[in-house]
Amino acid sequence: MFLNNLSYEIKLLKRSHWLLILLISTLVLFAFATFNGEKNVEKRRNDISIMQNELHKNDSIVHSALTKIENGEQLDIPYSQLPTEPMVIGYRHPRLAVMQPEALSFISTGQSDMYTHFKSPTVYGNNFALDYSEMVNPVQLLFGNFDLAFVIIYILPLMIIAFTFNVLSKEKELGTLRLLGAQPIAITRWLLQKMAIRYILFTLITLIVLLLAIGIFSAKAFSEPINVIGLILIIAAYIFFWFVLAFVINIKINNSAKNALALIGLWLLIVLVLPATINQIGNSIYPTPSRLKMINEIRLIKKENEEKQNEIMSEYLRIHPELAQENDDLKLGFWHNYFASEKVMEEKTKPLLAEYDQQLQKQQDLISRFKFVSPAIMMQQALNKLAGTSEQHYNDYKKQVFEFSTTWRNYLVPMLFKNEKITKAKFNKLPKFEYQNRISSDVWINFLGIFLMCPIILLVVTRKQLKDKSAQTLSL
Amino acid sequence: MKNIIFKELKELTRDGRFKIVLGISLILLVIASITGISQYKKNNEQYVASTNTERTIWETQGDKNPHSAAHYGTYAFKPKFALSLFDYGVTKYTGNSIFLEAHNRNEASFSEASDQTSLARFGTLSINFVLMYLFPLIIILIGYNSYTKEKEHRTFTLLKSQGVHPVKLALGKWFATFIPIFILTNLIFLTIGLVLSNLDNLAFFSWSSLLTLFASYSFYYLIITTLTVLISMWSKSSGMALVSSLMLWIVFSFITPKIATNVANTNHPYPSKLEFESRIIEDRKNGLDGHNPWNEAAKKLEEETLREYGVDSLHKLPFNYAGYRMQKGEEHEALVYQKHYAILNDIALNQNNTYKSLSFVSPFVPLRFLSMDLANTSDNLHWKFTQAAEQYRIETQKFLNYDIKDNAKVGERGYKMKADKFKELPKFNFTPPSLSQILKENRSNLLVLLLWFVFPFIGLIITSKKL
Repeated sequence: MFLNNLSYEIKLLKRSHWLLILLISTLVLFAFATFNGEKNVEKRRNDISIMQNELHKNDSIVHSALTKIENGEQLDIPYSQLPTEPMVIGYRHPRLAVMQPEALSFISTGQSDMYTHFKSPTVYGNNFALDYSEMVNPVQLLFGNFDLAFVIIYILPLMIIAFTFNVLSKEKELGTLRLLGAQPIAITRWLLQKMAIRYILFTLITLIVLLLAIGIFSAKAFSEPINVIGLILIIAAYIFFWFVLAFVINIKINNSAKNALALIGLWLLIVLVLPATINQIGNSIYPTPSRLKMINEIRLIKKENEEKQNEIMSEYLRIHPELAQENDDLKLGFWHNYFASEKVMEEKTKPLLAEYDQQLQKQQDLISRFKFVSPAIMMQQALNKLAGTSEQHYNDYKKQVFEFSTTWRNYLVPMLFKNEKITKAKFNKLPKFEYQNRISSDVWINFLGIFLMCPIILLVVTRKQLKDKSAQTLSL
Repeated sequence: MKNIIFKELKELTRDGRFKIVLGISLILLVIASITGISQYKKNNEQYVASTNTERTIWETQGDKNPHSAAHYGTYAFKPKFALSLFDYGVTKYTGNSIFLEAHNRNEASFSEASDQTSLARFGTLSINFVLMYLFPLIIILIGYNSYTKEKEHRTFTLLKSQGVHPVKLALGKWFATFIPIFILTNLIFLTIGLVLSNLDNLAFFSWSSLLTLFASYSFYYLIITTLTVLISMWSKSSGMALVSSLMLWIVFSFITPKIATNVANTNHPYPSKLEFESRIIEDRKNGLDGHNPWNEAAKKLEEETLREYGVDSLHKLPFNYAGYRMQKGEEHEALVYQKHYAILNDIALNQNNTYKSLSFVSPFVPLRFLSMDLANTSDNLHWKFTQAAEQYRIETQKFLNYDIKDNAKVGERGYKMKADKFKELPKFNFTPPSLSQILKENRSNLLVLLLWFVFPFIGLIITSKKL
């Protein structure tokens, strides 16, 4: 019976041109989205290389200046720009802390349009309160990108709905349902088989087209086969979820127009209304701590700090005796003073910022717990994580940059106080930043989350109908 | 025609689906309003508190060197506008505070979105979210089968045989599709107006802006209504009509804006922040640096000043030259910033024009722009705010630098401005553009919306006669 069903189904789909339409539309959508995604990544790479080239150019100027100095030549550079001074290198020639895109970054823009991908932490200045937002037209952020994530999360379900909304109801409306009922197969089983066939066809076509699009526009992605497999699996699970919904609606409602409306309503709920509502309610119940208040508080600390600056210095020297040198040089006196006050400023703002970050983290955790309400949210999180563009990735990048700024300072400040000069050899050995993707992709959790929803929905909603082999409960 | 409208509306009230959708929309509206109002209140309180605190910090600096105070700086905070609780616009994506200090023009920092999870990128439930995305769907739901059902029930010939004028029939169905939403919209806007006008501490609320918003949304619904009925006329079955209308809705409100983003980004890319900054540094090198007296432009200024006052040395000037030079340097640098920010704004305008040129594919786009402009939550308003803040920064610098110029003795190192003088600096004040100015800036959006109505409506009339 299954083979019968299969061959009939394929014949049917071929004649209705459904497969062709599906093939063409997925091809167009995926190709365009992949192309766009790749273009965004390219811009990111391009921006990075512009900055790297600039750094390179500056470095070679510094290098030649250092060579001249080492050769004993006189240079026409003011003291405050002399590259032999550790502070000049530390402040005027910082290193670039770059966050390179991942191999799969093109699948989802995620938060990458909002944050910067390079930072130059300096030896002094507020490295703990750097602003990581990127220059961007806010309208762009408002409307979002046409990337693969959009096609997968928003458009694929609609195509599934169009593909499945009337599988059963059509038979009823054509009057062939009663005929079917006379066949030696339970209608629910027959429908299950039919849906399974369509699911496999749909998934195969989508995935093959997707892989094709990736192969053409962004072949580098295949260098991370595990992530590609994760991508394939999670898309298969998401498609599965929508097929299960369609199956349930087919059994429960069984009227083409009503089926379509119900499915569209569900789409609207899952993809649009639920995320927006959760976001809004979440932010009302667990509000983001006020940045304005934080600004006020930091300002007060700063003001206090400036007033106390002179008293503080001895305290700092007490903690860092290795830096206290018998030196009457005015310059060192200034730097001692400066770093001392900065250290105090940092120590005082630290609890404030930590508290703020904690509150923020709590809010983000709470909201992300809601993700299990809608597969669309899970899907978005999974895709962002695969793409390396999730908020976790950017938070971690910030952390890495901060760690690097400490390394940078710890390398240069002791040099200053030991009165060491930067030489060519030392310049070549300056600490370098290397971004590491330390966030696990979690694709399996989201995969399971979406996948497990399906049997639950099936069991809860259609328990009666599935048991009922004689299809009495179906409105024939 | 009255009969037609009446009959259609009666049918509608009997339709369970309509009731469900309406119920859901209303629940969402209530949630959106309650959360919106509470957030607005909270944000507004924070704004008022921060502004006052910052001012107090500024005024209680004590005796201080003016230039040291200039480095300590102050903040400009963006006020909360009453209608922002109707349409959040881009406020989530722009910062609300700008640090104003000597020598540097800073960007608005700490946007809300950058503190939130990526969930925020799905959009936020606000009143206009319901009005912009869900209400057109209700219209489609009401109107998709207005003609197809007559065809399917074979009542269309019956109708024609009764001698109803086809245009009257079309208009009747058109009105019947529009009226429920129109009444609803009326009620919603009236409620918003009443609620808003009863809120305390409300900034910049005007009934005329609200009325304009109401008119814009109603007009958008007219467009959707016309298109829905037109599609129903063209379609053979209700299913087809529904699918086509929904397709159109998706293309209008999701696909077109997103494609526009990609097109705009490709054709008019923004520089990265670091790149932007390094361009400014490059220009500043060639400019006049307030700290560096050996700069070329400073020399020229020195010569000119000496000549103007007819003296041969800076000591003989009737004022402290250091303060004067510092201010001139500040203004010179401000020009560099002005130049680069103007370039940036041009890119933004070009990008927005890309969106607007795609208005011909989607009437949603002009409505989106118009709505946030009217609610004072647009990028346009943000730009005006940053301009005002920059103006204020320069004035603050002038206030401080001219204090040195007028009061400090020549060559005096430890000069301090009197504590009381800090209070004399005027407060930062930002007023949003007037309604007529907003409308003037949105002429193209209004025109496109008008065209989106006129052509389908003509199509509707012509098609109705052919049926």
